[in-house]
Amino acid sequence: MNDINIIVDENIFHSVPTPDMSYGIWAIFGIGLMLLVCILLGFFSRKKAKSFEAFLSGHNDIGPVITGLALGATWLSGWATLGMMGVTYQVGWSGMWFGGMWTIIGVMPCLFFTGEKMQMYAQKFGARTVSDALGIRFDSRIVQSLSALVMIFFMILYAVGQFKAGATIWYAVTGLPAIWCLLLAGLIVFIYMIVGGYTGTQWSLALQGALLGIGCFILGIVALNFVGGPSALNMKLAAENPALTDLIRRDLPSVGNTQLFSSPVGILATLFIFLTMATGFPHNVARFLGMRKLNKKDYMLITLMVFLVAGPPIFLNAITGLCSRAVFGPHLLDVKPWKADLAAPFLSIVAGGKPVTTLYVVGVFAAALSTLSAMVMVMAGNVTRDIIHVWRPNMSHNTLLKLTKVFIGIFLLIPFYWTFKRPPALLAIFMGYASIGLGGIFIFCTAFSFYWKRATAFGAVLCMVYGVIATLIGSIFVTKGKIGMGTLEFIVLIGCGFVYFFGSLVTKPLPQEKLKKLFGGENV
Amino acid sequence: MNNWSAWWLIVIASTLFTVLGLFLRIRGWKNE
Repeated sequence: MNDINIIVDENIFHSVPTPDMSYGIWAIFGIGLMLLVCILLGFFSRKKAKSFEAFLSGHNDIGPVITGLALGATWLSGWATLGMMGVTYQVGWSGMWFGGMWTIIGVMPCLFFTGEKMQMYAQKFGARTVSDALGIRFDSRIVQSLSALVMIFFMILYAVGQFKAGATIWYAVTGLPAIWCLLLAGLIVFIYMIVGGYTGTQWSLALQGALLGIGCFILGIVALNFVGGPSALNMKLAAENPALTDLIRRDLPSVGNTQLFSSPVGILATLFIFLTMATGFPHNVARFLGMRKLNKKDYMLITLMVFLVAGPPIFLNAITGLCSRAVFGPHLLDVKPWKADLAAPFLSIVAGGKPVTTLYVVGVFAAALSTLSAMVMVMAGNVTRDIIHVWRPNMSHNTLLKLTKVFIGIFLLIPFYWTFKRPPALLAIFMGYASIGLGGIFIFCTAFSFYWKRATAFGAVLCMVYGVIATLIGSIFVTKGKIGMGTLEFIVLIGCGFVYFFGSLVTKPLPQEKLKKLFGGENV
Repeated sequence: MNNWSAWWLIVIASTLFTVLGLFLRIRGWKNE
């Protein structure tokens, strides 16, 4: 990214910390403790999942507090707890739009519009995965299997981001070479998935949701206090480069990924990215599959839980990244390959010392682990339930259960190897592509289809095919600087919507009787 | 607009969005 070169008095910046093992030992202790509690929680709370179905999504008996915290945990990932600070660190205030300020505007519609529907598909029709629910909705095995493939494709990209987040944290607290940091991160995920919480139980996810909320919130307050409060923050940023305080950085190119910071089109696109991705993420929507039917009070509780985890801590993350820029100046960009993503971990070391750093590190791991494990579960279930089982219904459930576990290993190894070979430069940008694809496709195929009776399998298939192709080709154009990343969001979203509605309207809807079962008696 | 004002505006708008959404969602809710 092109930063204007301004001669700055280097003495105003704090020196970049040199990581040593003293923080690593605290981090190991904190993360170890979290893993232990997760494993114990999984052990005591989980009814043993003997059947293939129960392994995938539990027993439809989980309450609103746990479901709400778990949704917060899967929604927020390495992007929210690390990548977001990386963005505001790198470009200043204009990064907050893409960094995650739309978090609540994004996640609440997921809860309001898909929660109850998903719960109904699980309880009434026995849906065990999101693709399963889509297969039932469209009465189509092709939709079920194709959606599974599309989800796997995009989620592998997203999983790469989680590994980088874990590895970055290890570098910040130990200073070990990149490969060791990545191995450490991979090892922890592996232990977590295999020993204790590998079913991604809602209880472990809920604990992780609470931890990441507390960790980020405290770091935000400490960081702002460290730089001397709101106006001091702006003064320090302006002293380095006045453009850092701009809400739109017009000095950056308006094509490529910088469009998200430099033009109104790009900034408007960030709102749509967040609005569609929360509902488009299958690992979010899957949280409702194991939920019990809610009453009014339950509904208020689940909303409060999601707000507490996904709201204030994440709003503060934008500020943490800015504080880091004010403290270190641009010098973190020189620390390869981690660069801007070190903004928050290094600031926690300088401003908060060992207790805050440990809490924050545990929070990042909680966020990355919860998202990654939920995604790996969704991907493994997609293969066995929505692809193999659909086309080979006679295969024994025991074999399917074993196969699911094998695929958990495979879907952990692929992103691990990818991160090892080619770690993405800036987490949020990399994960943004996956979000554009998943969000653009599944906001229609999932959310709209739950309410629009006229939607058909053909419309859904067209939408998925278009979404994948447009995101893939478009991302090449963005990388080459031909179009902006915000423009790509609109190309994907508007195009997906068009082919979804067009494809649905030119084909016959499901028979009335079937629709009555799915939608109840009312006309939609 | 001042950047802190924009930040507060989104925080407040998000809170209102949540409260309003919740209100609309549970209006007329039948406990079964």
